[in-house]
Amino acid sequence: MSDQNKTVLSPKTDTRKTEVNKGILLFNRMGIWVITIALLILGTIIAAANGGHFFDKSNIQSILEAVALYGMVAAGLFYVTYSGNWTDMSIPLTMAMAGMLTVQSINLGFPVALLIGIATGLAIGMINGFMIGHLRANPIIWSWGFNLLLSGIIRVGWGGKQLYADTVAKQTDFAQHSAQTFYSISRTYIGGIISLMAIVMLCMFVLSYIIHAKTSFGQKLKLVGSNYEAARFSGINCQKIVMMGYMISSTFAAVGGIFYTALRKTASYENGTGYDFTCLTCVLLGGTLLSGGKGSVLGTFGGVLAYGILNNILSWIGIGTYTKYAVQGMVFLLIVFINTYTERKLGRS
Amino acid sequence: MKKMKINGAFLNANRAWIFLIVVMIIGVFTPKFYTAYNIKAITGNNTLFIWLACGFTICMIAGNMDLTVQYCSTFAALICLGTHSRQKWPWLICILVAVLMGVIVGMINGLLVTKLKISAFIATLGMQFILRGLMYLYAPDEQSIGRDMAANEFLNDKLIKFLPFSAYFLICLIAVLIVWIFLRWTRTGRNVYMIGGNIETAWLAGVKSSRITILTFVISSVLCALGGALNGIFSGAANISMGEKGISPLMIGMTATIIGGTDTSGGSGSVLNTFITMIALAFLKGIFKKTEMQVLVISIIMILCIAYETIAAFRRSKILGIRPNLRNEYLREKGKA
Amino acid sequence: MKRRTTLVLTGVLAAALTVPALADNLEDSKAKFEEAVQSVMTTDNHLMMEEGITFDIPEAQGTAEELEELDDSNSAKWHYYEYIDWDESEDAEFPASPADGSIGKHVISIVHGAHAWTTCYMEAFEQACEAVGMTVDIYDPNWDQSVQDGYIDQAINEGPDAIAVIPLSADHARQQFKNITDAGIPAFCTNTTPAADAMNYILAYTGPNDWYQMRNLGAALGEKLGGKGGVAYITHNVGGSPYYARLYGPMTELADKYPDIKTLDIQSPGFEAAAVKQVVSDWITKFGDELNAIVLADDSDQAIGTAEAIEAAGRDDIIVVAAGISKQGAELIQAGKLYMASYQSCQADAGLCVRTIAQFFNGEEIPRVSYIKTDLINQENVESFLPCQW
Repeated sequence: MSDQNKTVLSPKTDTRKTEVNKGILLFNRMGIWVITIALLILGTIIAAANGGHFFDKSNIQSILEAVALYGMVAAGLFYVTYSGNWTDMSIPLTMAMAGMLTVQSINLGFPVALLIGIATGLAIGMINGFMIGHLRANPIIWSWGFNLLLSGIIRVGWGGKQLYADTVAKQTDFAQHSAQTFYSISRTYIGGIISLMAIVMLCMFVLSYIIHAKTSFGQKLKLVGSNYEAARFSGINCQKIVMMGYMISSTFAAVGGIFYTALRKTASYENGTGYDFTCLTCVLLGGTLLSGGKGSVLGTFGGVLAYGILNNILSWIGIGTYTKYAVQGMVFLLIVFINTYTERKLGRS
Repeated sequence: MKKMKINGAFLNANRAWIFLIVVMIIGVFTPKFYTAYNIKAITGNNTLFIWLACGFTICMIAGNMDLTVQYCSTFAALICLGTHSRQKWPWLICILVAVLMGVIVGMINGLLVTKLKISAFIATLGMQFILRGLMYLYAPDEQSIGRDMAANEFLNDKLIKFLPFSAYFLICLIAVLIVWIFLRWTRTGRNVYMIGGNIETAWLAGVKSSRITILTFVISSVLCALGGALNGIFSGAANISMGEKGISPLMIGMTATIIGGTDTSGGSGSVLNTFITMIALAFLKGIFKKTEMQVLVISIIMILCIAYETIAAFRRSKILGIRPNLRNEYLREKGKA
Repeated sequence: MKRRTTLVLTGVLAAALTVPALADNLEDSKAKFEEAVQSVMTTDNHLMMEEGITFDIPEAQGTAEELEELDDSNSAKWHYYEYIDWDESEDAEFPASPADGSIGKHVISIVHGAHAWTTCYMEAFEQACEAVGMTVDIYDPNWDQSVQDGYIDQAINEGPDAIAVIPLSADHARQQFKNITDAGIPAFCTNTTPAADAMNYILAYTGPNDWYQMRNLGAALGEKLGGKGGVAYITHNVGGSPYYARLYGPMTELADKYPDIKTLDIQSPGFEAAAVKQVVSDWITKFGDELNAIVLADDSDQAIGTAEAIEAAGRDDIIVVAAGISKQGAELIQAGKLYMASYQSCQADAGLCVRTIAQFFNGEEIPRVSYIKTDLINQENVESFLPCQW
């Protein structure tokens, strides 16, 4: 039937390309790991040229620790981007709020304070998830506005002050001990080599990987992210799925915020500034599509590492802090362009 | 009941004006609020935000977000004062150079969005970092440029002393009116609304959507660059870290755009409404003097606006989603079709 | 609102009471001032409103343009950065002192932005004002230049008896203080150093002598290093007065006294502990044993990041000094992770400013520029500076 049609109706041959460019396919599949390996090779060369060793123990440590906090947040932010809602702009204040409440409740003991901090993230995620997942608010505008609101609440609530855990804690052994425990979580080294923060980051990535790859939630989220309407008509409760995505994101951000506060020893409304954009950069570097539905936790981990290595290389070259912004911006645009370009060339977008 | 409904829609459509009136009434109860000095100071100090808010509004009407507004204006101010103090060029040329920078930034933004198909949010986000880096490259170890006080003293003290507004504010007002007329009364201006409403339909209807999108980015960047450069001249100094701490000017611009009633997905809105909202926000800042309270009050108003629109859209789509023809019948019954 | 009504009330009361008894108010004010100077203490048990330090400015070795040509490590280059060396003949006409006593006067203070330091400063300012019978409103512009301009205009509109400002930008200070002085309100500059020509519109400047204390810190570091080694610097926000003082102060001092000490690198990662940690880790990897000391512009977040990086790399031999002093800094000194910090009393800074304003209202002669007292803190004397102010 179709052969007949071809000969009778369309004598012209189809000139459109059908075979896929191998390079593009490779990049689309491997994405960030190609970049990471390229960066690693570049780093080795540059470090050698500067008379150092890139694969030195301390350098690897430095890279891992520098990205530990970004990694914790990015592991969760991945779900928001993956669900097709671009990004969560309320991440900075989620981190700040979690830190604030953890410090404020330190008198109840360290584990309880930790739980309260994490619950803060969960609550913020629920509000965001309800507005964006259920009522379909514009994700960027809402989360950005909510960020400002949280900032206002913290500023008025604590009068623009900074909180120190050991001054908030009462003068009892129990409270002071929990304050010291709180400070120590960002300063513990397991076996004297790898910091607790890096371990927590790795654990969170493993957890995130399991949620994404091994649960039905992850599968549903993929469908919701790639085509919301189709997902809805196939009987998935999209609202609930998106909401869960936000809850995971905010909870992970809250954990990041607690570690950040412990590292800085102070809780204030400015904790977490810049984490929104940096973590989005990591997620996008990892090959997650902004429109959602494509990407992997493993890729995001690669993105986080690549970000750390890039920063490390820039320090090796000796580029100043502010020039780094320009380089990071260009790399960011380039990566996003390559991602969208390969996606289009493969006809998937 | 029917009247209330129309009333609600009417209130929502004119919420910028209502906001301004409410704020002005509160102002009556604030001591020393309606003095010529205070009005001049409040409007003058917030003029920069008006430029940014209007630039942001234009892009949002076209369905895009322009995050570069803040750095674009700061960079323009640095270039304007920098070329004046380093190369000794006359002011007019310096302003032109700064505006040219705005045109280039707008072009790059537009090309990234239309030709490379990167979404506007991400493209301008990347540009934001690049601009920030370039700014520090241009002024590597100076917190601010500009030591020429002569022009600044002339402009602030000698020019139009009889009005309770600064010349800078009046220039901004004129620019806003020009942009408003352009968007409302010209074919190209209407096309901006069309691509904001639905870019594909607009394209099918013969609108050169890429060109219009680039144009909106260029207008936005030029407004910001001009505003920034003039702000630099009028205040006498350009500060490199402007707005990096505290409430960012970008955030204020976005707030004014949203409270002013611009649709967050594009297609409707007005520069004039943004302008009115910005004035109201400026007055509000004059009433609530503590920064903390300002942030809280402004964010609450903004969140209420977003929530209201979200819920309204949600209810609309709920009816539409179930039976579109039923909704049409319902509207016909109500006489609102 | 409440404060304003009390202000109005005190104003009315003052007007009703003091017109016949103007001299009494002055006498009361002077007595109250003397008592305040003797009794008001900082939280680390030093006098808050002590008399400041004044000194004569040394001769500059050329004009500003000529000095710009010099090498960064030459201390002569920074003359105009270090000293507020202005031309007094161009001074504006300052409002004269009412000389009717500080009691009942209203002051507006505009700080630079929210920070633990600022909170401490604001509380001290209020405390000191109360001690001399003045009322105060404090505005916080959140580190934003244009917001600060707005607050200055608002403050002028409210018409207080004096305005004290911590200018965000040294260059822009002239314009800000010109507006205040033109409106006929006494203008006081505090904490951050303004550009020299801004002094034409400033009645009095009070603040820490950043250069002096950082030079002392540099000298102590050079001695500890034994005159040789490599030093790396982490700076304050680029372009502000602390940036120059805390970078070039120790650098020129080391270059003058210990020419064998090398400057390895200068970085400005800001005040985020994680970012600083990364920079220091990269330094340790890059320079290895060449890196012997690090000079920090801040002893809270920057010092924490640095200490973390040093601990992670196991390089206890690196000597860290910082401008201080915060709670975190004092803890690090006690733990031996920070060798030395300068003592810059935040509350005395506020106290000196209030002292100067009160003296102005009492009709006394006030110094145009005065500095708070400073010291160096190490593990031995840290006890006498505890509990920390912020």
